[in-house]
Amino acid sequence: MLTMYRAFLVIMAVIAGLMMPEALALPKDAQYTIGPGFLPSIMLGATIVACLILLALDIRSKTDAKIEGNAVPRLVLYVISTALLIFAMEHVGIILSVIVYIFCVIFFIEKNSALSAAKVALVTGTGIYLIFHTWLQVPMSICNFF
Amino acid sequence: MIEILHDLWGGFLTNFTLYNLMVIFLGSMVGTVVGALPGLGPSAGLALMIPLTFTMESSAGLALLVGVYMGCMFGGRITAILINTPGDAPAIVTCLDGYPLMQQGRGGFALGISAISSFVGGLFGIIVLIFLAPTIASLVINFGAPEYFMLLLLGLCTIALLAGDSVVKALLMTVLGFVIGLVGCDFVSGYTRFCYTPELLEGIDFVVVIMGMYGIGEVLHNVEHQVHLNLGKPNFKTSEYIPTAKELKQVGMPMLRGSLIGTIIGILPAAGGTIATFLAYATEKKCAKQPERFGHGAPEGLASPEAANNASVGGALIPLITMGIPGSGGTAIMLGVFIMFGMRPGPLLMTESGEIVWAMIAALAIANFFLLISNLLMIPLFVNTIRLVEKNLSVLVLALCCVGAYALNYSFFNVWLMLFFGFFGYMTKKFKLPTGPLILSVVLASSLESYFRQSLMLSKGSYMIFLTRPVSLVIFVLIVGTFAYGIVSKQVKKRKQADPAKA
Repeated sequence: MLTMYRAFLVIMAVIAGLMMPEALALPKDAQYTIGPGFLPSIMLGATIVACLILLALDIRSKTDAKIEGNAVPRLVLYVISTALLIFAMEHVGIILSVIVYIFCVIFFIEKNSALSAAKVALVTGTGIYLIFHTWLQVPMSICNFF
Repeated sequence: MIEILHDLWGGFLTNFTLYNLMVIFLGSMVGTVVGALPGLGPSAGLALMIPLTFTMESSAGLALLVGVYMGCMFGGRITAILINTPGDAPAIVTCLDGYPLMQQGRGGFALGISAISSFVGGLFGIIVLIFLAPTIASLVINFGAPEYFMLLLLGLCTIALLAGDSVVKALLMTVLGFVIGLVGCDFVSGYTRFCYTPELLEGIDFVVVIMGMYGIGEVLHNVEHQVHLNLGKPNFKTSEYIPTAKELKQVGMPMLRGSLIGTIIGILPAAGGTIATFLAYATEKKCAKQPERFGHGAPEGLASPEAANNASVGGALIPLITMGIPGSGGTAIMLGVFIMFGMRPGPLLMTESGEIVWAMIAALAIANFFLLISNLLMIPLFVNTIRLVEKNLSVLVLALCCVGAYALNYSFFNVWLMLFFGFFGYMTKKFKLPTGPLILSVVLASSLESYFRQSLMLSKGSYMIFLTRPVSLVIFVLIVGTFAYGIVSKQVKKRKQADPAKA
């Protein structure tokens, strides 16, 4: 049975396997010392072995890590909205994106009132601008279109 | 002795500027709130605050972070006492006697006595750190590349073998951390390793990994479990926080015992505050004339673990500063921060960057003092802030992490990478894979490879160099011992769990 945990281990082992040819192609030794491919090859090999051992140890187990049923939509919404925030930070502007993101999450996902969502979003947006832009002088745009 | 006090005074002078004092105060306050919030521990607090240090001077940046670190240790007890919900793992023990005191209408007293105990414990740990660190550093100063390599390997082995409940899981995380840490251009040979996009040429910044694993990962975990605190408005009088002389006398010895236990446990790798608090509580119960009072609001049962928890901070910094060996996720982050500020962790740290290290130790002492005052006088402010932040914690942390990852080098690639590590961190938490070994190996990967190379060059390619040098051989024996202890202790633990009657 393919559980979440086993799937995770298989994915880890496959990724390590896909990276292995590159590690093996690198020189393993240099004059009197190790080459750039020495440690990566060992570490990737160890990753695959550790994943296989954990899979073998888990073979009799009938339990699996579960995401609490009603939490799945919330989790998906959080991950998607954060991905959209990063996309918007790049193309729309950092501060505006952060304000809109916080408002949307508090209002639509957390189901709080629009007024409290707007208050938190504006205060946080202003705080982030003051701390990162004014104090730490990190270059960040409020909105790319103005 | 005089030299130590002179260096320490220099550290205090560095921090006696309005800017540094404000930074320490800010760090302490933020740390207290973060520590009090269930789901966010010292590692998450440090991860969130690292972006603020990018443009700071190293002394100010480290002052901010040690303020956060110490503040987190103070903060965990607030929600433990008020609503029986520990803010972090070490505060679990605080609930045992802190909450019964609250139920008896002595919440103000419990908060006051725990704040004083935390201060005493913190101070004890710092004093031991001040006098022990230079001594250890002078002993290990003559180490060469093979000894450095073995020391780092020992640090990795201890945290990998003692963290979590499975050796294989911890080893998997360690090797994964290595793979992540080795990504980028190898500057010795000029070869690139796993650089699938040009942004990866400079490697994966450990800050991105930390913010993802501890910031985003923890938030996703909290989103799933929807932790909500029902904190009421505190209505204690200020006088309630201040214990009487008789009450202080009652908890005096427990505080000192807890401080001693906390410092010793803090020095041991992979032990940390949680074990220290449990051990201090058990010791106090054994020493007590009326052990049956424990669990029903005994002040000693509150004072000793709190002192132990804060004393473990000073203890944990001793191997970190003198040998570059971190014993926990939090100190692994501090190790990464040292590297970020251009310092070289290891035996030479106190020689090469002595001023900064002493300034950091002085900042720790100042933060401890600020935290005592604020935790006695500003509890209502903390509680109201926690109530305000807790409602929207997840979204605020996510937004801060995204902006913080961008601020690292103004690249959106890092923000995407952080989101990936956030999801990875969430999965590892789900599958009970320990994150400490991964963070540590990400931070140490390049140094370890570099010392390995240098050692082999010294011996003209012979691996026997690690066994023929006496210090290196001793560390090798310690590594083997750690391996044996790690495997045996886990087997014993498993058997006990399987057959509790025999245990």
